[in-house]
Amino acid sequence: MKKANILIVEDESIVAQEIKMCLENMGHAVASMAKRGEEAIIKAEEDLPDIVLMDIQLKGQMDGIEAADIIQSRLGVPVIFLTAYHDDERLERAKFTRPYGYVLKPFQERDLKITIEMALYAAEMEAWRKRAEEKLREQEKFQGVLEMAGAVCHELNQPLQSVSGFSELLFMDMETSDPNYESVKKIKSGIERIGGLTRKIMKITRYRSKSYLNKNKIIDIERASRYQEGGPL
Amino acid sequence: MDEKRILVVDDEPHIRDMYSLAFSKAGYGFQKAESAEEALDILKKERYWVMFLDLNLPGMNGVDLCRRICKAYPMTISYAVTGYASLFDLNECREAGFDDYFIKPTSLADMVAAAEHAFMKLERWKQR
Repeated sequence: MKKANILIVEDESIVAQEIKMCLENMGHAVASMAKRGEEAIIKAEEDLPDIVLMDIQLKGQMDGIEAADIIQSRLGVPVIFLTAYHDDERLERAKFTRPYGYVLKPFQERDLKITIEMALYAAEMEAWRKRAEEKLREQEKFQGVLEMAGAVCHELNQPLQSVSGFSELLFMDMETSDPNYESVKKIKSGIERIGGLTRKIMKITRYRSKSYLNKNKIIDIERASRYQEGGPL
Repeated sequence: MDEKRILVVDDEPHIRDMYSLAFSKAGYGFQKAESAEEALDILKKERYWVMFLDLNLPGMNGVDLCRRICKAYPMTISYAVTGYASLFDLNECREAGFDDYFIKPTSLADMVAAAEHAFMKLERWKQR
């Protein structure tokens, strides 16, 4: 069993102490305790616990459902409700915060133990899924950048071929004594460098590209810029 | 094969002009077409043995054009020229019948050398 760091949110001190003992018996650690919703959010931010055990009826303006919603959405810390209430209205509100469990008081230690264990596993899986998604997004972004670079090179190669060819023709006919010889030589070597660069970029982007809008295999710069300006693809 | 004539297919007028200058300067007869369809029309009237085909053409692409030409005239030596290397795979080009593959921007000297080599090869075949 994984040892978890838990935040207890409970407005009754005696009940909070009972829960704390119970959790420590299970081998978990209690990171901190809070009595109000606002306090719970601050403690969760400070301690970043593995799980929050949240009572619904709390002292103060904010109830446990509201606090749970903020803690889960802002900090991504999983919340388990531990409450005596199970009326439809509360259940309906609690459901929307997507809790990792809902345990009714008075609770059986075994039920709480199982719920915590399930929640820890689900949270771990969720974190893994998020990391995998993030990685995939990064890869897609990187692939998009590479393909864009490749598309730019493809578009450049057409005019580059004509500039490079004509400069080669000019150079072919030129005597070394020609006053323009050195200038044309420099133009030619500059074009060769650009050609080398586009070739290098195309080499790293040469893999099967994905189908984009309108099933284009490659980014069409002309068409993409028209689309960007609000025109049709 | 009295005159060494080359057919170039490319949809960019500047590039066609440039090839025309380079190949004429090297002593070759030269014909240009701006599409695969135009090239096929020309081939109905005149025979060309050496060709440089751009791959990304409007209408029929250069790979399909090469397939058509090689089927009708198997002794043709054709070279692919493309700025879109990732769209047209070398394997596919070889399978279509291309002898070699140039990625734009390519040097004219290399293309003239390829033409020279092609005519030498044809000369050898002729003597068999």
